[in-house]
Amino acid sequence: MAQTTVSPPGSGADIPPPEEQSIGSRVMSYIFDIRFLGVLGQIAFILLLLVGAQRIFSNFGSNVDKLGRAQFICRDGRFAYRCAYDFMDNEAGFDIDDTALDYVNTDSFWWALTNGIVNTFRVGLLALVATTFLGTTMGIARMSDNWLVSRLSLAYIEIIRNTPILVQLLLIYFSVILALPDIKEAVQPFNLPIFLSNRGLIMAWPQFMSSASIWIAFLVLGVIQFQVMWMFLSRREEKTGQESSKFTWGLAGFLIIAAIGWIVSTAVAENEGLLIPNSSRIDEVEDFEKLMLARAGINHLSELAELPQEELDAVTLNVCVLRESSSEANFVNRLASEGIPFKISRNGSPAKAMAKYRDGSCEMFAAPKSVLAAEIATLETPTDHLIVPVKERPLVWSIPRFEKFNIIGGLLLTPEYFALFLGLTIFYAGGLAEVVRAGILSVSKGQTEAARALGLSEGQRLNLIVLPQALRVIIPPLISTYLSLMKDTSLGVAVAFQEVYLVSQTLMNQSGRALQIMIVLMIIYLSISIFFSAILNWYNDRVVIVER
Amino acid sequence: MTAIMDGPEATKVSDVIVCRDVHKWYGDFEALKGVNLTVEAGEVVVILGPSGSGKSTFIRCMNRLEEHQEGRIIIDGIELTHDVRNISEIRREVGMVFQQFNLFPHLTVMDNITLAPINVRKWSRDRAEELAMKWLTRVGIPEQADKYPGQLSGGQQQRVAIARALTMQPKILLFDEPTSALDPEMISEVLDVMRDLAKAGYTIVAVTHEMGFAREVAQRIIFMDGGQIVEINSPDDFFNNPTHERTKLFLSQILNH
Amino acid sequence: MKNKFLLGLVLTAVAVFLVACGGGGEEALSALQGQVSDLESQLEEAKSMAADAEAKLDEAMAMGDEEGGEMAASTNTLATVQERGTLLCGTGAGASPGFAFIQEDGSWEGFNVDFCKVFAAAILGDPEAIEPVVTTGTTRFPILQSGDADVLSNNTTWTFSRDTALGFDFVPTVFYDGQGMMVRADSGIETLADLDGGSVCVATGTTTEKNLADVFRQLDIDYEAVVFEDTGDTTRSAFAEGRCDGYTTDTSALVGSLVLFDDPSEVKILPDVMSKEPLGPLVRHGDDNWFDIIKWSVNCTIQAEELGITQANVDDMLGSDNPTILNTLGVEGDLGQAIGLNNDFCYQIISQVGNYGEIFTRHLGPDTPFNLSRGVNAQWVDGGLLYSPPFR
Repeated sequence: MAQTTVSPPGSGADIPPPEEQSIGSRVMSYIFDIRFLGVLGQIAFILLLLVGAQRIFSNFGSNVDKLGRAQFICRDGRFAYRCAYDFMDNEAGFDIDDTALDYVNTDSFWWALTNGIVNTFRVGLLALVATTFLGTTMGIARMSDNWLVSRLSLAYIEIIRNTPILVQLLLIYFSVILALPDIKEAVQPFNLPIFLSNRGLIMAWPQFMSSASIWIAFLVLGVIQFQVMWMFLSRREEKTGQESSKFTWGLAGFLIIAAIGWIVSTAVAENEGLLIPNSSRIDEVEDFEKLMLARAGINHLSELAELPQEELDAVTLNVCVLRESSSEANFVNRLASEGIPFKISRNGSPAKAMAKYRDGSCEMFAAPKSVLAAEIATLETPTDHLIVPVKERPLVWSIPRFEKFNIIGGLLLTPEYFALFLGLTIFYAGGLAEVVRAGILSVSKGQTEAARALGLSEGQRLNLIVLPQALRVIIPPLISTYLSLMKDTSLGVAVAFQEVYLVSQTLMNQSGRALQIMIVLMIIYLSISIFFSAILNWYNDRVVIVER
Repeated sequence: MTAIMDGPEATKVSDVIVCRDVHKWYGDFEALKGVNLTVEAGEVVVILGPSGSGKSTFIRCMNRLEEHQEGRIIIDGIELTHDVRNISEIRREVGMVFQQFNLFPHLTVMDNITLAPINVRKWSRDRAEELAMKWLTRVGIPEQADKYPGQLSGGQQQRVAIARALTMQPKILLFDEPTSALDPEMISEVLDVMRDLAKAGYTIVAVTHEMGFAREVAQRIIFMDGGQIVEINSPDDFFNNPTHERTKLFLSQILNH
Repeated sequence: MKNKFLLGLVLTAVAVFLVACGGGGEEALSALQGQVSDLESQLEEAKSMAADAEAKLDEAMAMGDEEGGEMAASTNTLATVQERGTLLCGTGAGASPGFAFIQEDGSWEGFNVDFCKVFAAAILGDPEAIEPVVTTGTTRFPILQSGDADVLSNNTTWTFSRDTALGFDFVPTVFYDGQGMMVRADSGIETLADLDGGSVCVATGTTTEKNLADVFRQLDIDYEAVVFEDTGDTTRSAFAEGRCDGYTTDTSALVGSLVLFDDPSEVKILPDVMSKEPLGPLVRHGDDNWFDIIKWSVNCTIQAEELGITQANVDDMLGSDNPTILNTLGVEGDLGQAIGLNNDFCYQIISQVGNYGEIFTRHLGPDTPFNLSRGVNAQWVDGGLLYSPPFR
């Protein structure tokens, strides 16, 4: 130590004054001044930007010229660039098969595009949630001590990450989903009302009747009750230490309130009706059994099964309904539960149903009373017909049933939706698994040891210690995974799922406005991306703040 | 060595740690070569030894942070086997303090301490926080309860780690080089706490390099080298009349430094 | 912070340059929309300058193309094609047997491809001087609009809106078609109305898709349209896999696709005709001379058949004493010059490719798997719709 020479304190005062510099070297030192270089860089970039913009706009100009002026004609016949999007109000004229909002092919291009956007979110958001679960599971499984589990997930990750998503998607669609049995031989697991075929997955699904609003109000009340009960019991627990099953009590209260709501709304509901001629001598739905017996000349409904097919066809009730309406599900369930043979004619509008009612191809028309009341007035002799009330429950199950070559009713997940959802989920979960693994590996081994030493179970260790810390590392790459996933919904084009990209392709063709629609499409995807990264960045900031 | 394992070994009821012929391999490397040790309730045992002697591995086998492949370890009457129920029961009764503190950086000091009592012992939050506050006061940092570990000094963090271990009300405390990662001026504040605990009658097994602490507090000193226990002795005899050559060499290296 | 900003600037500048140089002006546009107003005046200025230049250019041009004044100089398609030495011809995805199908050796074959050869023979004197451009239902219009193809010969239906608002010009129809519906033979479907409640596979971006919607709406048929971006054979494959009860496209294409099924007897085509589908080549609107060239090249094949001129006898016909034949083949008169071609352009077409009847028979006739009858695609003198205006 003592051998090393150290300058005594205060010797810094001996630094020589700055040297006099020649003019040349002073100029050079200005040029190489870091501040000057910075400004120079900025100016260069602005120049580059301007040149680039000029190129783009001259390109735009020549493209517009190629398009011809016809695309920029306003409704009043004048030429103006601002009228480039007037065509979007025109009738779309093409179908979108699988929509969440009501869409018919007479709606406008704008509405078609909106449905495309909704479809994009419909498949994207679900895939996002599923990807998160599957990816996290796979990432954790990859590091499992269980040899088989870790090897299997390794194989999954490597296969999925190293093949193109488009190939996987086409494989899933053509070789897995379309290879499922034909709809007539649809697979029905455990005899449940679930049908799996190459027309998609069809399952029984609850449909709200109009009286459901009352019931839903009760449900909301039940949720509030749950919260209050939970808070009350937690407080008591903290004060007295008396432990109680908060969840069980809350749930019990909720169920009681829901049941009361069900009874009340069933009792007060009187929205559903059935339009029939007076001559049928039916005053309420219970009379159908008598009518059936009289028609078939039998004593009991069970004898129907013994009738020959022609006679059965003759006595079968022909019922008109509105397509996909909740009245349909309600009335069909009614008739089916009483064992009355019936045939349903589904109609797009009340007017069409009434036309069939008038010409006799329908014996009755089941719909909400308000609809029937308006339609009964259009009949020649309204007094010869009456509206019979039909009992209803707030919620009815729409149960899939075979009709001709398709299954109708229930909820349909189309093969296209399913394929895109599966394809996106499986592919991005593979990437996410690696992200999760990297995140978990970033948490030091000491954290695991400390958690184990404290007696935490493996699940608690993962949930309370490892994952919250891994999130910091996971979130930035997670954001880009989510963004890619949302943008890759455009691969729906390969499997005929009509998300915004495929819809805009069709739009482009029906209208011929490629430039305009490309611009809209870019704005849409840009907005989706900005929206997601804004949310996730906000979340990321929060996680980081918790750190310190 | 089989004789020791199979033989009807006389153990007293008050023996809370019993290790018989414990072997541990890392691949081909044998880290523990048949270690025997019995610790009584309330006893303070310090394990010394050069680095790589297997002392950390040994102490970490006691709560199954490392798995021993041969021999038997019985903690508080429960044998450490592959049965997860046994493992978690033992871990509940054995508190551990690490060289690197290993506090959870995403939780406040209070949450660090109450996490295990609430989730493992299923206490109410109130009860857990009450006890946590008691221990934080005892280790001298009650005012730090709402801070995050990153905001504390090393010495403070280690004291939180001790409080965290103690709030679980363990029967045994394991210290794995608790002062090695600390700046010199913070070592004493941690040693003070440990001394305090020793006096209060806790069963303690500590791996440390603090000779002063060992001499003053330990009832027995165990010297390990090459994966074996070389010498077990009282502090006075150990430091003044070591019986084994290896011990003498070790002491001369340390004390002459 | 500052570094991040700089990095952002660099990336933006690089991106802008790549896009501008790549010619994808539209795409970068959205990123810079905010600056549109600032630069609009600049654009106007540039445009007026271009107009001035064109005016001068026009004076210098011997042809004196009257329409040229309004369009950019680059829209002289004939000059562009002659300079390039090949014709860029949009021919579909190459998966329509009989019309445009890629052979195992990579060459293109079919009715539509032969019309590309007709144009190349007329313009360049060499029917093989074509470059087939792959187009799909959705890409074909942008490809023609952007100049990536000089002409489309890919079974595009001539409609009002395409002819006007989209900015195209359709030459005489070369194939009068109608939309048909294919179903499985054992499905029990006999008419369109039987498809109620079923599903239909259809390619997007086609008149077919819109027709389907119109016809089924009129019939009040409840159906599910499964819409494919048809690159190659996807729509038909999905139908073959059982995804849909029906598969709709132009009848000619349905007939053509029969050879692609494992067992063609498993499917049948319904008798219903859902629409008029006049199919013919089309060009960009605005280059009238180019439009004339394509139009009269098609007429040449029709006229030749009517006059009995075939690939085999065309050389003999040069010595014919019929002035109509001599005019058509360019032995007399200077018809070709009026559209900037050699006078013998029609002779080149017939001698190297053949007349309409020969082209039809070669790809769709009795010796092919399709065995299509001429039907309405016969000469007017035979009761068909083919009618060429006179060559004089």
